[in-house]
Amino acid sequence: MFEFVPPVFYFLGAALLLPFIPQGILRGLFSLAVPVAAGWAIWTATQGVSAQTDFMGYTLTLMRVDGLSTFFGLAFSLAAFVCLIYAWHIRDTVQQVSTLLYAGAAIGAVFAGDLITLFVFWEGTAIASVFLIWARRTQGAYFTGLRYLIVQIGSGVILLAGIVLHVNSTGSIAFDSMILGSAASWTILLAFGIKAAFPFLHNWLEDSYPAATITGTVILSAFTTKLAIYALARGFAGTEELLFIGAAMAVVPSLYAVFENDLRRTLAYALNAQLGFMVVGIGIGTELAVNGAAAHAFASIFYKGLLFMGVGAVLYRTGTAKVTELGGLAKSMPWTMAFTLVGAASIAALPLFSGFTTKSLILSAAGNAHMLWVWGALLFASACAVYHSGIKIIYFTFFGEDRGLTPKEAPLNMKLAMGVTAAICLAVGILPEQFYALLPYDVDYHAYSFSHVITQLQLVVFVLLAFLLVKNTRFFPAPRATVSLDTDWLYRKVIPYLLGHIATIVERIWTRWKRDANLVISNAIQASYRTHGPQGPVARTWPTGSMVLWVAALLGITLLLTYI
Amino acid sequence: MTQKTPPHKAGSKNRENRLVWITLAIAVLLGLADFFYEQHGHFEVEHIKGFYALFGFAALVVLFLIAKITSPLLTRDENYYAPTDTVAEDYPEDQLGREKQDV
Repeated sequence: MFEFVPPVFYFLGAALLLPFIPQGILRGLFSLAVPVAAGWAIWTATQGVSAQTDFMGYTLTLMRVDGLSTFFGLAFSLAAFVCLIYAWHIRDTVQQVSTLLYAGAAIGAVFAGDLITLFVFWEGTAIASVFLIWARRTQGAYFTGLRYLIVQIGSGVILLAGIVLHVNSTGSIAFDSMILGSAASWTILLAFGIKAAFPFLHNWLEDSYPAATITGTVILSAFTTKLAIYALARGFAGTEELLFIGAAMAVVPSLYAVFENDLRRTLAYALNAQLGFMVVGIGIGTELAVNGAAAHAFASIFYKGLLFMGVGAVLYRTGTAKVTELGGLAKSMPWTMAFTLVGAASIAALPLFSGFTTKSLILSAAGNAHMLWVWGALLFASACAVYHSGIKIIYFTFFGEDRGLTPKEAPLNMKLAMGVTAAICLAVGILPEQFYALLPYDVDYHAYSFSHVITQLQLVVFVLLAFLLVKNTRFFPAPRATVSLDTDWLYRKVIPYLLGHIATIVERIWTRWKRDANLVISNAIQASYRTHGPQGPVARTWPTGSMVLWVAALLGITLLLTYI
Repeated sequence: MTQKTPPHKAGSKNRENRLVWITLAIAVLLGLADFFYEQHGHFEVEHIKGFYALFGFAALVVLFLIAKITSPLLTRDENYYAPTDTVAEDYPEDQLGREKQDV
């Protein structure tokens, strides 16, 4: 059909075939081959537009290959590969199939050249991914999955509404850079914003990711939000509003990440804050800044994935990921600790690790544009990230209070996946020139200046010092066995509560109204019964004589009238 | 309060004190380093000696204070959302690979 088969079909085809392959090594190798083949196809694809097909009078473009889409396509293929290694031990067909479909849909969306194709894969990621939450197979996961699905499908429906408005006003379905202002562009931005976890639209992320299975959380963390970042970079680069949204997004979730007890939810908040950096980069919109957003999305997929893997391995062996139940695992899970440390060092942006070479692109772009407040907010969020994704995760899991846990080291496949991911984090940090060459735009940037290395080390070490000094005082906000109230409190508590009250009031009014109406109707019936009933005046029998008299009278009047 | 600290806890206490001192030493060295090279930056504030060090320290203290004050307002008991939430649930045992270390 097409001269070039879009990589998304590799995933869809493999997902169809997968259930017929026996569980075990064969199925594992088969699913691992899919992202490798897709990655190779993306790597060798020629720039330009291909795989076009006509649909209801519109030309759909399934492959738009350029710097931006290739970069995200490769990142997603690589992410799918390490996630599949991490999930090697899973024998649940539902999770295996939905992983392939989910990764495939995300890659399909990245290469979508028009808005209709984008919409199809946008919804595809939502539907495929919810099974990674439901696969936990508990009541809580079932409800959380429903909430996740409502939000994600909602984002798709809003996107569709935006597309209809857009086509109506411009007549084009092309997915290109948009200027914020029209109703169509605002609607599309809202749809992207839900998936990118903008402030007040964000809570589906922190709600659902920790409810997924151990491997499911790692897989979820890679695709949905980064797809939204890609869509924003494609459609809204240079939109000033994104600066404020991004800055708020980088700062506010950090607060929750401090007192949250569940480490996977802590990481979800930290992920949300990192998305804020990328949104700021897109808002600045220069080539350096968009490169920074793309680079940081790449780095974030892997260091955040690595942290989720580390915490997941601990959960897999101990049955808990809560600060209040963990501690002192350094001796029993040394490999997991070493790999998680690499992830922590990467998000803390220590020199030689990936955050150092990617986050600085965005900070420098903010500096070049002289945006002091945005830069300050990002620097503050960087300092917070050193604590909540670095120190907090490492300290409370592997050191801190010894809870007498002596679990076995993580299984081989998990160690392998963490090792590969750690190697990627280090490669991005150690070989920035080679990594920057893959970015969408050509930019001359040198991350390793003496000044940058020293100042970044100062930031990290002084955050560590502040933690060590405050930790044993009463000012330290130690996580407790609690659940955090976020915007979901509105629709999980307040609105149901208000609806309950409104329902009671409506019911009371209805009951009263019904009683009154019944009264009116029964009165009417009784009244008509009185007049028309067997005893009523209307039903009375009339003597024949009086009728004849009246007829005679009428005839007389007629006669008189005739002669007048 | 003359409770004796158990020996293994005392060891970790010592280790932690050592960690504090080592961190403090590195921090001071890094802070002093600012006086010996030419600072680059996009903003005036970046040329203040020890700006990043002070900023990092202050940022975390401020974050902790805000978190300390707001956490009673923003947290509830684990069963608050049950049963429509996974917080109060145990992770399903059949999906875990719970194994103890061979001692």
